[in-house]
Parts: sequence; C-alpha cells; structure tokens
Amino acid sequence: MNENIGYIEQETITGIVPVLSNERQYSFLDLFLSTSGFGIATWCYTQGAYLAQYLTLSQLIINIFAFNIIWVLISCLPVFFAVRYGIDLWIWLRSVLGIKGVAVLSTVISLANFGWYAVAANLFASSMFNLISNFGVPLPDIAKPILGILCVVLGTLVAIGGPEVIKWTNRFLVVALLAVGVAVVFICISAVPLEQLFAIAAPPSELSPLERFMLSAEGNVAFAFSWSTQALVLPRLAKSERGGYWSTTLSYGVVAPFFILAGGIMALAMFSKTGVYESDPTIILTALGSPVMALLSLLLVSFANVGTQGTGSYVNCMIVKSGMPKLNYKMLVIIAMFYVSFLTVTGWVENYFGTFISLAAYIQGPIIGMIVVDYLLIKKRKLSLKSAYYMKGHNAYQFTKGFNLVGIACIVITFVVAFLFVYNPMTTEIKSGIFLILTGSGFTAIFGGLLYYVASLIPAVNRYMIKDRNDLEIV
Amino acid sequence: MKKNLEQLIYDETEVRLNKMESKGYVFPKKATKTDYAIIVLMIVVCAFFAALCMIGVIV
Repeated sequence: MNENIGYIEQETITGIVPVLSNERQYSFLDLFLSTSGFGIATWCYTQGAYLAQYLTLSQLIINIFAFNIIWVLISCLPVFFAVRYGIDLWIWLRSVLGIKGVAVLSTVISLANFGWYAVAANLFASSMFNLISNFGVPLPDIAKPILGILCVVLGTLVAIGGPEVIKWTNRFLVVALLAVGVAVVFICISAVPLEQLFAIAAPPSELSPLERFMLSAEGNVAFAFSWSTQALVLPRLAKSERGGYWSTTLSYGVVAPFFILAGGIMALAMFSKTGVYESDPTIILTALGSPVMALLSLLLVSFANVGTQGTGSYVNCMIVKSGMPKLNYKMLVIIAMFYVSFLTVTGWVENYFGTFISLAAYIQGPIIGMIVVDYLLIKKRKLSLKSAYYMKGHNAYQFTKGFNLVGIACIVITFVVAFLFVYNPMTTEIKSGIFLILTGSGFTAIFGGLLYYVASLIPAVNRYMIKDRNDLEIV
Repeated sequence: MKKNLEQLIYDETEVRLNKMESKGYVFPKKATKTDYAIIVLMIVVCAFFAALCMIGVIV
C-alpha cells in the first residue's frame, strides 16, 4: 500500500496525474527562478554574438526583446489553463492531435529539444576547457567530451531529484547569474563606452537592411518557440494563474533575451576594440576586462548549463510521459542522459545549429498556433478533462486510430507551405515577401492556427473535431 | 505493487477529477482583465518598435 502511495506521489509531481490546488509547490518567485534557470545558458551568449553581426545595437535591442516578448506572451496564453487544472498542456493537446498524435509529436519534439542540451553541454565543456587553460593548466583534447558528459550527468542528478531539487538549485544559481549578466554588460561598457557601441554600423552585406533585420528576427522567433512546448509543463505546479503566467513569460521573454543581448553587447564591444566579431565568451571577456572578474562570470554561467540540463531533462521527460504515461520517469531521465551524451560527443547539433533551431520551430509553430486558436476561439477555454484522461464513458477525444487527422494535417500542410513558399531553413533562402513581415517560424504559427480555425468552420470537419460540448463537467 | 501501473494512474486520476468536480474544491486564483490588458499592451508596444525598425525609422 505504501508503495502505491509513493508511486501516486511520484506520478503527481513527475507524471501526468492532475496536481490539486493544495499540492502546488511554486510561488511566483519559485517558478520565475526555476524557469529563468532553465532559460539562461551559454547558448544565449552565442545567439547574441551571432545577431550582433547583422544589426546595430538599437536594432539588436528591439529585435531581441520585441520578437521574444510578442511570441512568448502569445504562446504561453494556455498556461492559464495549465495552472487552473494542474495539468500540462500536452494533455490538452490530446484533443487537438489525438492520444497517439501526442505520443508521436511529444517524442519527436523532445528528441529535438534534447539537442539544445547537447549544445549546452558542449558550451560547458568548451568554457571549462578554456577556463582551466587560462589558469595555465593545459588539458588534452579528450577532456572536452569528458567535460561535456560531466555536465549531462550533473544535470541528470538534478532531474532525478525532481521539482524540489530543481527549485532549490535554481533559487541560488539564478540570483548569481542575474548578477553575472549585469556584471558582463558592465565589463563591456567599461571597456567600450556605450555611445561608441551604438555608433557601430552593421557590416556591409548583400542583404537589404530589412532582410538582415528579419533574418535576425527569425532566429529570435525560433528561440521563443523553442521554449513553447516546454513552457507548458512547469506551470501546473504554480499556485495562481497570474503567478504561473507572468513568471513563465518574464523568464522566457525578458530574462533569457537579456542574456542574448549581453552576448550581442560583448560581441560589439569586442569588434569595437579588436575589429573582429567573436562569439566565444571566454575569449571576449578575457580580452575586454579584468580577467578574474571575467573568468568568474564565465564559471557561473557555465554552471548555469548544469541547471538547464536538470530542468530541461525533467521537462522533456514529462513531455514524453504525457504521450506515454506508463513509462517510468527515472528510466526516461537515464535514457535521456545517454542520448544527450551521444549528441554531445558527436557534436551533430552544434554543427548545424541554425538549421536545427529553425526546423524544430517549424514543427512547434503550427502546434502553438493551433493550441492558442483551440483554447481561445474553438473550445473557448473549456476542455473535457475526463475525455482528455480517457475516463470510462468519456470518449470525446477518440479519433482515427488515436490521431486527430485534422490537427496532424494542419501541421504537415503548414510545414510544407512554409518550407516551399516562405523560408527554407536548410538553405536560409527567403522565398517570399511574407517572410519579411512574419518570419518563417512566425508564419507557421499564424498559418497553422488559421488553417485549424478554418477547418473548424466546415460542418463535417467540425463534427469530427469537436465532440466534447456536452461533456464539460469540470469548468 | 498491488495494481498495475496503468490502473493505478487511472484510479488516482479519477479520484482527483472527482475532487475537482466537487463544490468545495477551490481552484487557484484566476487571472484578471488587467493581466489580459497588459498582455495586449505589451504586444502592441513591441510590434510598434519592431515596425519602426522594419520601415527604417530606427537604424
């Protein structure tokens, strides 16, 4: 019996069972710190340094914050629902994609999401390698993959500890990291005055200023989307709708972008001082200021990657469990550890980073569009929870062999249309003027949502999609 | 384990959904119109600044 109770507790926090309001662990601050800890990783610096090559500082600030804030605010709207009912949004998605549709897509998306953690582990390894070398201790090249795997293993230990360990790890780490972010910006503007940074013109390019701006925006929209499917998991532990929504959106829409901006400012300061655009924060910080301060900053940021690994592993294993509830959480975390270690050692994701994030966003975009449309316009914030959990006698979300063909078709059509007619992320080729207004990833969310809404207006399709209006018992 | 895992999850989910359905259950505090108004305002402000960059006013 005790074993059963323990299992139920485990399934509540690290499973898919609804969390009751008196069991919620996360206040606004707890969730803000945990989510920020998840969002801050060294890849933020890498992304900022990359964007700085195409934009002035004024444009960079607006590009980073505007596109991240807009899309994070929109994609996180269903968080209100997650908090109210204590379930993650993948349970809602059963009504949009079908239970097998969720199982397939949650696995595909988690496999893609784990690519980010391989990048984080590689950056951790590279930063630690350079740090140790800077202290005059040369390391053999074999140390890099070993350090990368160390990062994955440490993150796995945090994930196995569950939300309580994640909460306390991030509570300390994030406060330190926010201070580091401010320190990094201070080091840069001490080395190069702010007016000088604002005066740096974007380097000559074959692209028009608008194309440069929107290609950078594509990177930021893809970045915002990369959180979306993961952002829908932790808020189920929040104590209030307001706390759950704003802590999530401020973390992904403001805190993580602030670190992208810090990376951009570092790159511009480095360019101003040396004439070279550099993306490795170890080299930039050492060149720009007090080596001790710079190295200390980098050390803390490197450890942020461990916090990211831990929270990311928890969140993505939860996503997989939404599709396949019978799987054991700890077993999934261990499998994830081997998978991420493999990606880390091979370096596959890092070598094709831009393509990787845009392709992942092309799958997540239509899901974001559909869930927002479904939540606000079609189901009007009312879901049949009993059907979503497939309780006996509640069959509103039984679709064709477990797949909602309408939802799946919307994803496939949107992916193909965006790829062929808007923007090709494999070749970075702009296919039409639509990209210059919406970006490719933004288009997938808007078009996917629109397609799903139009489908719901066709009576025969509507009868297939919406069968739950007489089964809304918990509202 | 006395029951299989799937049945255990099912039973516990059913208990919890019944609790949520009961009249005495208190849901977490709802967001208000102010929250939605702030969301719309932030999106409009961000879109406005992005548009200024796109049409070349901010370079």
